[in-house]
Amino acid sequence: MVFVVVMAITLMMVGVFYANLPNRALAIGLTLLAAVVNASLVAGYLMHIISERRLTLIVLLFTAVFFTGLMALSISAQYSLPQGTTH
Amino acid sequence: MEIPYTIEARPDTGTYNAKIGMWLFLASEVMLFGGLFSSYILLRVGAPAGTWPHGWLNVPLGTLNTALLSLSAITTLLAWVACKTKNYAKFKLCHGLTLLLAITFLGVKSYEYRDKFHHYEVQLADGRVADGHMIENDAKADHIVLHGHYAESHAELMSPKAGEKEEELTIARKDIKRMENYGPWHNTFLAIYFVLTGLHALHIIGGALVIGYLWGPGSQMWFTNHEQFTNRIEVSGLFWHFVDLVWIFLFPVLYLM
Repeated sequence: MVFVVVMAITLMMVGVFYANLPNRALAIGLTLLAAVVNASLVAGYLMHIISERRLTLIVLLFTAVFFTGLMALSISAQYSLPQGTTH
Repeated sequence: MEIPYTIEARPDTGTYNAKIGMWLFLASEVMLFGGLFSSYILLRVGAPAGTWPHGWLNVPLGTLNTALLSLSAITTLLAWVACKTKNYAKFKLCHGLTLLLAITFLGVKSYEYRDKFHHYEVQLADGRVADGHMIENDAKADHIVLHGHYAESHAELMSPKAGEKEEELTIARKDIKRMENYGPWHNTFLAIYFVLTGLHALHIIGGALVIGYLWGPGSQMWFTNHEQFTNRIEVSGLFWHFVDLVWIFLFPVLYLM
């Protein structure tokens, strides 16, 4: 069942790609949302995170915090480029 | 000396050691791939408009690879269920299928890589660009043969038009200013594509080796220490699901955006 849902969402993502939506930000947002849902299904049901021990969930929470920080730092770095250089 | 907590749960963690160890390892892998994904984001948003390629990757093949890995995630879970229900034949079938699916994934990826290494951008002396797959490139010959099309400039190649007519192009070597295939050296997109998918493929190879061992000679432990063997299948399955998870993000980010 999980496989069917994951493939249905994947095909939806491919459909958004071929639809060539005029609003690029919407297309990227939809695709990323679909990827997050897919990943949640795999992590929750196939990796059994849904029924994991508290310690494992704490490890994963730390991972999520550091991962979010890593992404935020990288994305914010584009706004602090030195002036007068070619980028 | 016996390695402790290979089967019974540790009182403080509530689970056996290998499972906590694998989760900690996967946490470090998240940071590894996270660093590369954030590099991709920076490179992508930092690229001047019109310089980031679109439509260079084969979406149907990427979708096929997604299906292969998702199915292998299911079969590896079924293999663990077979261990829990002590069904050896089912374990062998499901784990063997997982291995086959992994090898098929690598085969498809190899085909995609080969396609890139045979795809050339040829800058001509008159300013035009020829783009296509190399058919003939004999060093002794005074010409090359590409199956592709001409473009007025390099910028046109960033977004190939659907249904572009392709034909056999014979180009004299004396007319060639520069010639390069679509390897990781070609541009930033291909560099990050090969790094991301190459590192992922190395993880697939490593995972496949472990799955192959547990399917083959390692399966002897089924008869000598069944519970520990079941735990080995579980933690190797965790790693395999993580590899699938990475691809679930790689596919849309590289192929669909």
